[in-house]
Amino acid sequence: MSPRAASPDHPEIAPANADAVIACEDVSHVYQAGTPLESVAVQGVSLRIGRGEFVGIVGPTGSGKSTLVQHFNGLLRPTSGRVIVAGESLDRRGADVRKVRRTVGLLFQYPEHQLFEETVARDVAFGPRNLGLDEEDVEERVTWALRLVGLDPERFGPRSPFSLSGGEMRRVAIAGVLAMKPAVLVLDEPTAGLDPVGRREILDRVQSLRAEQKITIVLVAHSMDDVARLCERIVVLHQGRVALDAPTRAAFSAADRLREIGLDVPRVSDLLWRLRAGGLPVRTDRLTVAEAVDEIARTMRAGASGGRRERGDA
Amino acid sequence: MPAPLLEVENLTHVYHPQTARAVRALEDVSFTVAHGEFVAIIGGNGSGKSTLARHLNALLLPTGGRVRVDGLDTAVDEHLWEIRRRVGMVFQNPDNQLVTSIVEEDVAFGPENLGVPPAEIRVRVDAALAAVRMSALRERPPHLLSGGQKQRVAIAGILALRPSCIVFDEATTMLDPAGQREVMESARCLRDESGITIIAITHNMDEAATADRILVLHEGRLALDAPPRQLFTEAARLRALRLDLPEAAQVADGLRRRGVAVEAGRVEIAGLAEAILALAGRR
Repeated sequence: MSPRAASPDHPEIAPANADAVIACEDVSHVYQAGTPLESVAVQGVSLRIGRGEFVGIVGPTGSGKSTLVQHFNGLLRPTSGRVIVAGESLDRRGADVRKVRRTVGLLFQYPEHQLFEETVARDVAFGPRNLGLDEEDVEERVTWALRLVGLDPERFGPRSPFSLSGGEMRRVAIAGVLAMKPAVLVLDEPTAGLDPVGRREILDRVQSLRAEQKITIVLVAHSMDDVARLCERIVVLHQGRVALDAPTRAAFSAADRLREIGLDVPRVSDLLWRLRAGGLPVRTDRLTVAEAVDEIARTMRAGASGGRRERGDA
Repeated sequence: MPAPLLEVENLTHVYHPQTARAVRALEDVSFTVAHGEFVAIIGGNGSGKSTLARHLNALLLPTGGRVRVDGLDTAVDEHLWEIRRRVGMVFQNPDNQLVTSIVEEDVAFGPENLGVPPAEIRVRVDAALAAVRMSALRERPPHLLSGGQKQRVAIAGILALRPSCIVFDEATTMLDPAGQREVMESARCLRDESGITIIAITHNMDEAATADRILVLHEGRLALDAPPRQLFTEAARLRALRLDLPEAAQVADGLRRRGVAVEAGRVEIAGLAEAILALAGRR
């Protein structure tokens, strides 16, 4: 992969952003432009995603999330503005779209609807085979990708994808994208429709992918709870525009701002804000259940030690 | 005691019976639901939830056992339309349920098909749209509505048939948090104000936590049947059934382990916050 993020004719992508793997500059996307059905899905979005970042993109239905991320691998071209992925400016004629698609792997919503091969192994092999790799390399990648998503290649490889549970099918679809060895993995609502255990399995896998493979991850989600728990940075879209782009902890400790633009705060933040409003001096920048439990237990202990003796801590 | 609205007796359902592809989706499931109850049905992917839902208005018929709605056996042909009128179903995908190009026409579609007189239809459509707070958008084309609004129009279409019960089959799964809240608030309001029985099939534990009672399906069988406050104290057991605690209950559970004696069964954030503040002597 080229370490060069800026192409010479776009000098404004400064050295400070030299590690941006995806850069959007004032990107707008209009569907059916010039017809009575014209609708502006994305408007004036500027955004840089650095190598190794874990970014959550959230916003209500119709806020432009899916439209925006389809620009990240060249599936959609901006109506105006510029998208630069791994140094390739996608508005340029002759841009190397294949390179962009290899750099950014995109997992659609309900990706299991796109499984079609007779066996799990063949399904995961589909992408790498299209890259023109020889069979040995293809097989190696299939084994590697299935292991990454926590499916034993020996056991699951020969099975029909359609004999699997919803969560397993979803993981096969993710393995299919990973087998292309993308530098960036974009997941559009990867847990929709899964039961709580299936959801946890997927999100745990995403987290370990990040930790072990240093893949850049963009998670598109409805659930503030998931984004709060996993992502370091949150980008909130609202009516096609970026309403907020901040480190997660800072974003959720300013819960009022989120509520103003009609967004939910994670349940954990909601609890901490209620406690604080009720006079218990807890910090509100805790994001996970475990952090909240720590914070509440600690604060109550501190409060109790002033007057009465506290109960034993387990 | 009045007769229950729904009676499910030893219900078994086999897809493709007597073939190599036969799948037992439900096995000996029995329960009843009283008029006006709000019941959530939860369970892992493939546990049989949607199969069960489709038996409640005769979209599927039992392979074994019996389902009765207001005493009407769903397996008797002559009862079919009356059962479908009494039990309406809202499905997962908001884009697949609306059939006309204007909201109020969509709501009128059902009663028109039943031959209800036009003046009466007008009254019903107005009332149904008001009940889901969609009166202001009555002349909109459905495709310009949000997911939550589309689901509310689908609910209004059912209400215009004067049902006893509405079944929500993962009707919030494809919606954003605001849409999920709109739909669940509509459901609760219909139950509280009009006594309509609500069955909500869901993967969302926080949504289930607001029901009167939760049924848990596992591998086609009824595994648990309890009120949320009781059900959501059994973390280990629920995880074995591919489920989880709502976040409030997870926090409460963690606090109890740390020696903070929050009472068991706080399953909603507001209630948990109050319990903690009371314990801290702030209320």
